[in-house]
Amino acid sequence: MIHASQRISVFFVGGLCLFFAGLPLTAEKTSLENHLSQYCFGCHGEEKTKGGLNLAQLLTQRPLIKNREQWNHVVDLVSAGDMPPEDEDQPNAEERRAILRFLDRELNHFDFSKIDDPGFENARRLTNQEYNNTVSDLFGKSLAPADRFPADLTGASGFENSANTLFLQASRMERYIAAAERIVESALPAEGLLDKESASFRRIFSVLPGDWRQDAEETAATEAAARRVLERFLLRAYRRPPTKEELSQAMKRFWETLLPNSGVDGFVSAVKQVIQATLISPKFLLRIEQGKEGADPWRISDFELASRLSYFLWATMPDDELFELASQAKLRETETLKAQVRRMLQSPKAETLGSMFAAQWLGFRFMGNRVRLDPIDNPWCTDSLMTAMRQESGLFFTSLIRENKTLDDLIAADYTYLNEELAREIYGIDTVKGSRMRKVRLSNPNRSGILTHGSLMAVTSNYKQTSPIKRGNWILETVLGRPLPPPPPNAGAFKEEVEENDSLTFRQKVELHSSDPSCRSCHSKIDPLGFSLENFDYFGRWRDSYRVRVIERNDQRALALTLAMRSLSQQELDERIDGLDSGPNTRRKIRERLRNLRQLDENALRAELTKTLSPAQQNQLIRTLDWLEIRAPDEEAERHLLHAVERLRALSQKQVDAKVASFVDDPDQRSEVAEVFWELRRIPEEDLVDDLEDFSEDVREELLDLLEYLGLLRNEEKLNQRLQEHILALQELDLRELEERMDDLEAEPDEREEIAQIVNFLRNIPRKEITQMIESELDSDDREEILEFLLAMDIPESEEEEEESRRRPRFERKPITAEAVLPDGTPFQGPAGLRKVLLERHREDLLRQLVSKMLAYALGRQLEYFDESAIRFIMKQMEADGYRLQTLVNGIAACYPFQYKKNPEATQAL
Amino acid sequence: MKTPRISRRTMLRSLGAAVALPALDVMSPLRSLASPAAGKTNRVAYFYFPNGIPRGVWHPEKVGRNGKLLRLNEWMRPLEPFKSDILIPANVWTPKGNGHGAGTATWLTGQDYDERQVNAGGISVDQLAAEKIGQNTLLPSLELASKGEGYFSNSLPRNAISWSKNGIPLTREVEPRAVFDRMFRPPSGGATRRSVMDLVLADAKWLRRRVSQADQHRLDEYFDSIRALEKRIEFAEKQTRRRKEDKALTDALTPPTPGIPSDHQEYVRLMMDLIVLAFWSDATRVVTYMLDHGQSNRYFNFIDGVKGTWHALSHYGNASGMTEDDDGSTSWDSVESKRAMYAEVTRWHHRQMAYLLGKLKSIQEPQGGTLLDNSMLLYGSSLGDGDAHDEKDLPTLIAGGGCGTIRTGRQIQFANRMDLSRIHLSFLERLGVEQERFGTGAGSISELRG
Repeated sequence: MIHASQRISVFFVGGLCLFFAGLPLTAEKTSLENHLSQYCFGCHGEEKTKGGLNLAQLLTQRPLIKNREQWNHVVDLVSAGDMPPEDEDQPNAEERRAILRFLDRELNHFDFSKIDDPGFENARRLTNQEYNNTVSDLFGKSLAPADRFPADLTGASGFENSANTLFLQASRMERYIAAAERIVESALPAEGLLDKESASFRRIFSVLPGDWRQDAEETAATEAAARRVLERFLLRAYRRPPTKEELSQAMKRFWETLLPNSGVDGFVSAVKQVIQATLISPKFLLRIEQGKEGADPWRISDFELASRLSYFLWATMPDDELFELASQAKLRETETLKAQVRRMLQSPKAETLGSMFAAQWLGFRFMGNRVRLDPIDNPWCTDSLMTAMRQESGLFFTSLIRENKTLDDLIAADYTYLNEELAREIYGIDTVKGSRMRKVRLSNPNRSGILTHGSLMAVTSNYKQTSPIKRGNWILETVLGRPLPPPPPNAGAFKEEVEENDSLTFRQKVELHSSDPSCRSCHSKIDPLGFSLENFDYFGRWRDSYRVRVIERNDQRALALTLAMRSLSQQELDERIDGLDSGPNTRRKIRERLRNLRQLDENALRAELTKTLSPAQQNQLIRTLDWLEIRAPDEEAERHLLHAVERLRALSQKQVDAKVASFVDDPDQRSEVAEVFWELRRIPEEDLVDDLEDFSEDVREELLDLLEYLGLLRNEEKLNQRLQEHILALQELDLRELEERMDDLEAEPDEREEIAQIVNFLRNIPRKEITQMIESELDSDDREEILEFLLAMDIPESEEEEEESRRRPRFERKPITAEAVLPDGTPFQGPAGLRKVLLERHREDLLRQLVSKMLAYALGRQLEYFDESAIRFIMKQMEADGYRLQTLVNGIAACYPFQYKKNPEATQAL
Repeated sequence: MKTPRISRRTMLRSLGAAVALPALDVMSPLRSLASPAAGKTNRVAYFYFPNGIPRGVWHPEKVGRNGKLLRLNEWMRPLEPFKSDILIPANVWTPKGNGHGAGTATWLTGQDYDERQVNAGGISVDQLAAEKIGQNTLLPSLELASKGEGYFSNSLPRNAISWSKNGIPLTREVEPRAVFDRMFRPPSGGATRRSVMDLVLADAKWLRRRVSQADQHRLDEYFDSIRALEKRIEFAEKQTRRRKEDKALTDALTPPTPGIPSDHQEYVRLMMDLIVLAFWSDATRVVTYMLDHGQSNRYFNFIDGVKGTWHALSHYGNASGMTEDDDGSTSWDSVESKRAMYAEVTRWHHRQMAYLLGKLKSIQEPQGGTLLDNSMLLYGSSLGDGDAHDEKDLPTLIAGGGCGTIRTGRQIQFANRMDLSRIHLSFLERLGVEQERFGTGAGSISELRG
């Protein structure tokens, strides 16, 4: 029974509404039309529809609140003076005020009691999930044929069960036909395999002809049994009693398929044929309600109410008890309905309220499918973990309703549902054992209510990184139903100065970004909400600090490359910049930046590169110079060359001649080499470095080859360094590993003994003394020998690892402060602060959003302006009852749009 | 013709699991399902890709007199071998639609998208074509898509380009095996019997009388889908003789393994193979394939040097990796490198198209010309430049000769922007659909003929 007061208002205003509709337009409406026609229709009328807006047409759609969003947009633009545009005729101040005043009353102070419209729940096919549940209940066996059907797509409502997106296409029909056959064969297997004691058999075949055999003729017994079986089946498949005509059609079909004298098996087989045909009938596939003509609302039947109720609370067909009450026309009675809701919520089937309604509303349905981590990089992130995360939120939501908790508990309950893996990985709790999800009381004040669930923290994050903006926006839009206008084009980008300033944390960057006046109005609402949850990482694990990448300075390289750039001619540099595959703006910026660097004197340059530039800016510069293919001179090669030449100069002329003679045979070449060497030895000491640098790359390389050939390029430093690394590696080697390697060495027993001694010696050198030992106690032959046998032992060089670790980014920790300030200056902190803000300042938004979302889900349609009365009605009931959630469910079950319907306007006239 | 005599059965067996196709033309004279109607058969296919392109990578590098394609640019290089088989119209736009949701839904309708009503403004061009030329084939049309990845993969407008005349978005097949089964395993079993069909149709009629007018369209949907099914069954029945050979074909072709191949290239190519197979066997003459859903966030990291998701890459103007489009873990060195990766993803799709064109071109038709000569393919996106996010200069490419009605090998540089709807009209005209207006366009264009 509809709530008494609501019903009264419905009856009264029903008549009034018709009365008003017949009145001519009021003077005010006419003047609005005049103003709009004068100033707006030129661009937004029947001729032109700039921005897709046709006000002339919009104005004919009454009441105006029907198109609330578009009119609000008009209000915003007109009140800000952005419309009409500057170069068009402007309404005077009084006209402007008149327009706004009128629209304000129509949109914000609309009298909903004038409206009598429960809306129209369109016929729609079952969703895939509803189909699976329904056939499972129909046959008493868990079946999931729809898992391979094409996926259900969602439109604006975000719920899969929305009638306007549940189309029936030919290719889907094919799936239904194939599924019908599979379902029947699986639930009621062919003769021989049929288990007449199975639950699914007994659910369909409540009687068999044999049960009547004793007191009736065979034909009569078969007729009676078939009639009884089919009547019951059709009632459940159609979710209403079959008409006489329908039943006789089914019986006709039964007799047509029944083979004579085929006994019980034949009886079963013929019934199965009828069942299979029923499963592809629109009466089964569609949720469809009896129609009526005319413009008056009407109350739906009890069977229709039973279906609405069971698809709302269970996402499946009604059970026997609901059918029974419906057939007695008792379901609509207020107390009966309440009792049924209470009963239904206790059933396991009611878990769909969490796993479907809440999962689709809040978005945690995406956990594990759209939101998942790369399993190779993140072995801890298993499918079972993500399933548990999804289940946690679903079970939690269902429990709130089952246990008749309150709106406050949704946000602040001190319990949740966990299993061992979820407790360990996400909550850091190690007292939960086993894979079963169970209720766990939480003692951590940071964890309570649904907003701190891992699933929701994950679906509101980017891949492996939190996004306070995404979270803040999600709270506003999804949880509170207060979406902000879409960001202006090019939003989302940090300014370059902000982006490249690595001394800022992400939060500081966001704050700087949001301080831009054009961004502030929205971000001051979004950001604080999001930042209060920053202690939850991208998978909802608690953290006290950020891991921030440390960008390393590379002064030497920056300097070397910049110097190399400066040594290029301006023309050469310009050519390289022009050759870059980039836009003109980027090229211009690069040109300016480099011009500056070219003009500085060397000291200023050094200061600029090593002091002024942040590490990030320095890296950016290095990348740019690399991109321009500027190469620093190979310093190491230069150093080698220098050392080799120095060695050469240290030799006596006689020694040089002897070396040349022993290595070079060709007399011409010999004299050439001698000449080069003579030149090299002649260079004054102080000019040596510069002169060598002046050699061209080719000459230098040739020279280096030559010196190496003559054995002058002995690279002591390198040898020492390698030896040191190998000794370190040897010291780090596991003892057993070492023994294995020694055993593998091909060596005589004596040698082996000696090696063992050396190894022992090397392993015991204190780390700090290795360098000194190499340099002071070993001659170069010793060194080479030791290195050789260490190489033979194939001890992994630590060199690569070191290289690796140098490349691997370093991280440091920066503490997270979850402090935030609301636009009005009120500070709050962390999840606890957020809960308080939501419950104290946004209670009405939260309540309205929960009511609207659940109502839309229950009705399977998007809400319309005329549903406002029902929303207010339910909200009021909840307010009066301490925000109990069963009051919400009862309110929906009892509300006008849930129990009544009315033909949509467009079709009333026909 | 000197063709080695290969037993049809042997040939088919050798096709193997991937429905490999290269030798199909050897068997063309034995084609079982093709209608024997005199003259050539024209087919049409639409290939949609999301997220647009970096502006500029769709323009040929060198164009000769009368727009002759001399050299494609490096980003279109995979199509170079087919430059005489393609036509690149430049300066095409859609006056009404743009963006990921509405733009996708209206790419083939040329109208506005109404989100509340879930309505793309009318029938899509492929379905108009199917009404005309799809009546004599097993399936009037075939709607395919790569299974979506990332956010929005369940969003209706982003997954719907084909709309029936009743405004129903057609379901897209994503599983190669399901596509194969629809072509080679027509529905069978008890439920497809005439008497059952009659029964359920009677149910629908009975219901239609008892529901509100607002619900009647849903029953019309039911009627239509049952009728389509009946037609298929009827079609199969009528061709008893052919069905015998069809059975050979059905037995011999190894169906693809159920499920979605994990290798994306293998997946897309398998779908391409199925399209070739559909055209070759005349299972249908109208195909649409959404290479990805309208806002694909698929990772193309399997291409060397590419990182980040497609949609993030398309907003290449910001390389910080910090915009809400990005996954937060990927950042780029520069706008240029991000843009290049975006172009690389486009090029990858060209490669798959080239694979398809190669297959179509390798099959000779008994009535003359190759399968490609006797087809019209439209390949493109509903977004122009993904960063500018506009509907101007839409990447659009036409391939195939349309039975000698399209002069390929050219770029058509339209002086004034050309409404995509008029290209749709020109395709329809070639299929015998006489229509003055479609979407926002009035009149077909003569430029395709050259």
